[in-house]
Amino acid sequence: MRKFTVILLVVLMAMTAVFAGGSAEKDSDAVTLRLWTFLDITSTSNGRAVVLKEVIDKFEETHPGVDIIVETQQWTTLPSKVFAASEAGDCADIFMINTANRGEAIKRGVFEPLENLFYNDWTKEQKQDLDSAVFEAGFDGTYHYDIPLYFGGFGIMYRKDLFEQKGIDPESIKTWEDLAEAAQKLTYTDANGQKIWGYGIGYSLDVVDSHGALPNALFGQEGGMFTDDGMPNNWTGPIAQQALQMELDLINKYKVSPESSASVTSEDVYTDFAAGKYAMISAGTVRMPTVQSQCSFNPDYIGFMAYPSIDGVSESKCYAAGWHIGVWSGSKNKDIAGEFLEFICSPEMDSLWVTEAQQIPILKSTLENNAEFFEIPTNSWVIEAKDIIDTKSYIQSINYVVSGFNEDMQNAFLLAFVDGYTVEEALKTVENNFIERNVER
Amino acid sequence: MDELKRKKYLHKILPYLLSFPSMVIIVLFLIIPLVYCLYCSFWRCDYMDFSKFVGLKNYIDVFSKEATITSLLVSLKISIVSLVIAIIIGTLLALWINSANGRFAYILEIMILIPWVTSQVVAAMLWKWLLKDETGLINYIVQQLGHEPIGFLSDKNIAVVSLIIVITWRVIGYVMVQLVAGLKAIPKEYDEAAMIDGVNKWQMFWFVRLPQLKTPMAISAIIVALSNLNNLTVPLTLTGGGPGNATTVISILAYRESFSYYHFGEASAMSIALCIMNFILTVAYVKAVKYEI
Repeated sequence: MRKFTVILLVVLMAMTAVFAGGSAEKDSDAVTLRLWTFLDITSTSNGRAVVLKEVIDKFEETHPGVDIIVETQQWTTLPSKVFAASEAGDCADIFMINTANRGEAIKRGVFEPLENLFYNDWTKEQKQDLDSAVFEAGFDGTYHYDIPLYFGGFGIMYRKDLFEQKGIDPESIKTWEDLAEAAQKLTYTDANGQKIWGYGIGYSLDVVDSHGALPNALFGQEGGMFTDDGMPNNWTGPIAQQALQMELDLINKYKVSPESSASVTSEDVYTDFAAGKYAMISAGTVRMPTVQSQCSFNPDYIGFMAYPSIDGVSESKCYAAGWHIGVWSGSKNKDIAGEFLEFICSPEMDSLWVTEAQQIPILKSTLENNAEFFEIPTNSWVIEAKDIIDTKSYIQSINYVVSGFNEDMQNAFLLAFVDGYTVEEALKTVENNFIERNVER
Repeated sequence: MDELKRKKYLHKILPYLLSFPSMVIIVLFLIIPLVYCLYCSFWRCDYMDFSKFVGLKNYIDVFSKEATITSLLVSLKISIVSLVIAIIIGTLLALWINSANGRFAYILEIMILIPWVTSQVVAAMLWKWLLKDETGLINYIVQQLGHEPIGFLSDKNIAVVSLIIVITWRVIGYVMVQLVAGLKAIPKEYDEAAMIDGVNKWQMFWFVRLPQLKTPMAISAIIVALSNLNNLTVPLTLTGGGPGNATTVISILAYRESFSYYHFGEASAMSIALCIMNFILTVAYVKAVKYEI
């Protein structure tokens, strides 16, 4: 028995050595790239995941010997994992990071500059095609570091059919006061006894977004939300107070939003909007395809518009955010990873992102090349959303850290609505929290 | 003689060999992360960059904040109330199931245990769908009965109660199974001797069975208390710490400090403090019930 075991082990070892050696020799030119994303590419329902898989397959086809392994991460912890892994020397070759952490990733040298990969070889026309406010916001004076993907802004998602029924012209909504009045007309109980709310928003801190009257009034006010050195700019001023009061009034005075807005997340609000529970919601453009695919009514009826102004004078700006894909500076396969990045933002692939995943295009030429696609009513919002991002949005600076400011904005509402703070006290508290967290450290 | 020596030696090292795999796992996944967390708590460690040794500053900063103290109190309140309810209901169910016979008791026992083995995220999501203000099933029934919907998750006082109910619902089955096992282990002679002495049902429970249940009860209490105190999944999924900060337990605060603000030093200080609190509570409870490990 013992003899048999010894012989078996020897045979197994010999076979391992032979086949392992053979395989290594055969694949000596093979390159494996690791890609960290929040998308699950085995999904068949998520448009972005489906296209990412398609892009990877096409890249692998045109680059024999390159194997891209997607390691799906939980999106809330993906940025921290990128930072930790980069420090530890074990980050993925290609990774995605959100706008809020893009600046910190650049500062900490996590990204390999695009100029070292492919950008310097591009023609002037190619550079102009990619050029956008979002892309340029990631320029530190010397280098660009990332390709912005899945970019979007926040605004008002609304039901065109209900607006028409109640005789409301979306163009007539210039101020939050106008929005509140329109929402009053849109708040009713339908024939099935179901209450339809005029305006929906989720303030639960479980999911934080830069939405609602307060952050957008602050982005739009003179000097914006942050000073040039990253300090809160006038967070307790009259504009901020008026905006926070409006957020409270939409529930207490106008009664166009449910009291449960304090406890629901924006995820709940998207689901309820798709189910027909709201006529308007504060929403991100990036969620439009999902809502369209889930809604219980004709998806052509969903429109998108910019946030109104708080006082009719000051501008309202939305927070434009998304994900940024880049190459890790410590990667051993930077060149081929750079080729993948270049491939992902090629005109052909950008068209795929737009037409199959309904994303806002990365390249200017994609809009022109897919004119027919944007003429379809279900897709027309992309043009509106792109216009909002290009002209009425705030894109986070890479020069200072503003971690948790979205949470501060939602928290201001919660302190006033749930804990009974005055509007001024609530704003002062969140301003102090922000300074303590990001500035006085 | 050599064979005897070898056997003796094997007998001596066998316990170490058998416990070695478990020890490796404990060291790799518990001790090393714990020590690393402790190390991290003495550093300014934003974005996992150990930029400056700060000694106890993270602890001082964290515990001088009102939000930390409030969330600690919320954690303790929810954990203790849930523990007391779970022990009482778990004991009553265990006594009833122990006395009942047949398939019904068996099926009931399994059903009550299901919440403990169900994924916490799934369970919390199900409860959330039941309790939601606008579209929750319970509020739908409430409204059909002609009443105003109840703010199970939006009223700051009721939300705490909702969270306690869900956390307790999850652990009752575990307490019950532990106590049923304890009751089954009590020799029948004790009951018979007590009956000869003429005890009533209450005396039988209080003087005969309860003292015998001390050990399983202590184990259940320790496990449940620790599980409740450290629970992040249920509060985060069910209420997200809200409305406002009404249900923000300490683990949510530590989670936000890590994954929203990337202040891993402060988050580690909070986690170590929570770990020490767990240890103190366990020791105190073990001493209180005079349970010897």
